[in-house]
Amino acid sequence: MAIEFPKSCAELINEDPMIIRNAKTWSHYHAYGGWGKFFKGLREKKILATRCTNSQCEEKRLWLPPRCECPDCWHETEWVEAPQTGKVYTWSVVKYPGELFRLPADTPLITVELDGVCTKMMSWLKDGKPEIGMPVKAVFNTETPTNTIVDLAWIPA
Amino acid sequence: MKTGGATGGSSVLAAAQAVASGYADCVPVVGWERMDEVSTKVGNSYIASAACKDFESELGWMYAAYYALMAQRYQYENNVPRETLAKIACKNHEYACYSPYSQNPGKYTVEDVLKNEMVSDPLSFLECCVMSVGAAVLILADEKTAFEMTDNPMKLSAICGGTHTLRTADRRNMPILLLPNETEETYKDYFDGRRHEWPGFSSFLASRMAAYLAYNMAGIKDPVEDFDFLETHDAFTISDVQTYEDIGLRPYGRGREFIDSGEAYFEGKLPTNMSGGLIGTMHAVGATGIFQLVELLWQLQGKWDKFHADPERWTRYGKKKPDDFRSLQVPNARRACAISHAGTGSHVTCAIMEKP
Repeated sequence: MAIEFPKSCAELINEDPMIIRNAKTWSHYHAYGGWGKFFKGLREKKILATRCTNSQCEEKRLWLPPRCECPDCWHETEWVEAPQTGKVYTWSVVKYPGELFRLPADTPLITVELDGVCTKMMSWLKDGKPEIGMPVKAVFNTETPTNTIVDLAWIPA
Repeated sequence: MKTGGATGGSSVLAAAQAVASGYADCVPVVGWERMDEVSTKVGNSYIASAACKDFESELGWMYAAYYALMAQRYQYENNVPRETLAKIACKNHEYACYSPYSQNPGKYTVEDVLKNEMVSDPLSFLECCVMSVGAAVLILADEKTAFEMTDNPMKLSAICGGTHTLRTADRRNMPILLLPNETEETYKDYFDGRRHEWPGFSSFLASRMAAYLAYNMAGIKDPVEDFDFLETHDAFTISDVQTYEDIGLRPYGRGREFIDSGEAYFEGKLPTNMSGGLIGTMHAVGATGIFQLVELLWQLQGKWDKFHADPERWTRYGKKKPDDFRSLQVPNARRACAISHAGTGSHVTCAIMEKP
């Protein structure tokens, strides 16, 4: 039996120079691996960070985003709940986001500093006008979780 | 080879290592990118997939937003007005007017840039690099092979790379790594004495490390004195002013002086980005770092006019040489430096080229 040519996969847009429109849609299956627990934590209104279990390690503070192994000594880390209040370290209002952004244009992005955490956390401000040094507290999307980092947001404290 | 925005620099670094080790006597470095197949918003999403997909990409899907976060913090820490950033955009868009290879040339005033639509506060469209279709080629060879191919080769006296964490927010504070033109005294009053809060969001450790290694390899004591011109990776106005500090043109916190003083202009002490840079001429990602070194080569060979001023070059790209064309050939250029930069400073290379 002869195999048929495909009916259509691309549409001719221009003859010279020749341009075709090739629409592509597909799904990615993404495993969160060792930090899946962080994303489960968001559903329970918890910010889960990690801490090195090596008593000899100089870094006693929390890692957030979490790490499976300590970046300094490669020992295993343990899960510890991080504080839910912090301060805005920096911010930007996004006017022209990339195609996959699920939040509206004009959403303020913020980087949050939390006490006892050695790194910072990129997130977004759900309410209010951002300012450097502004105290904020965490809020969680537990109603319609997307199971991504946008389920965590902050509001003025 | 792919290291995002630093692909060009990393490729030249790999080629230089191949030649220096004796593994190869001649290596053509070829880089290209075509970014015209999708809309700007889709393109930004593709590019932002190079950020941390779990903790960064979903927040904006756009690198300009990640640089805008740095810009806000930089301006807060160092009291830099938007006008200073806008001057960088004006300069590079103008220099792009004199390049037949440029995609986004234009003569703008500071006010034009300030009134321009925002991409992500405080960066406007005129302060962000273009998405380009482009290619660039550089040939590296050992000395004997080079002189068989040309009478006028230039010497790549150093190329070194630095890296740092992918996520800006993962960068813990540490003491500043000092360049040959800096001492402990340089930072006595830095940042209200908080010298150990480095690199934060205001500086790129990877750029400083690349410069540190390359300067020591090539014997550079003071970049402003020892270089005759520069090509920096001006992906955004903010990253350009940050880089001025990282590569030691000014101490940390004082990068604005390099542009405000006029030194960065063609007429100044250390002309920067006569190519038009990434803001004015092009950022065809895989080609950019190579294109910068090609511009260095042409300047050092005294061939800048041959490749920019010939009306036939302009015709070849469907353009007309502008009536107010200006030669940006740096007279008697002897030694220059180019910075290739990726992510929010995750990979950076520093290359130094000079007359043999």
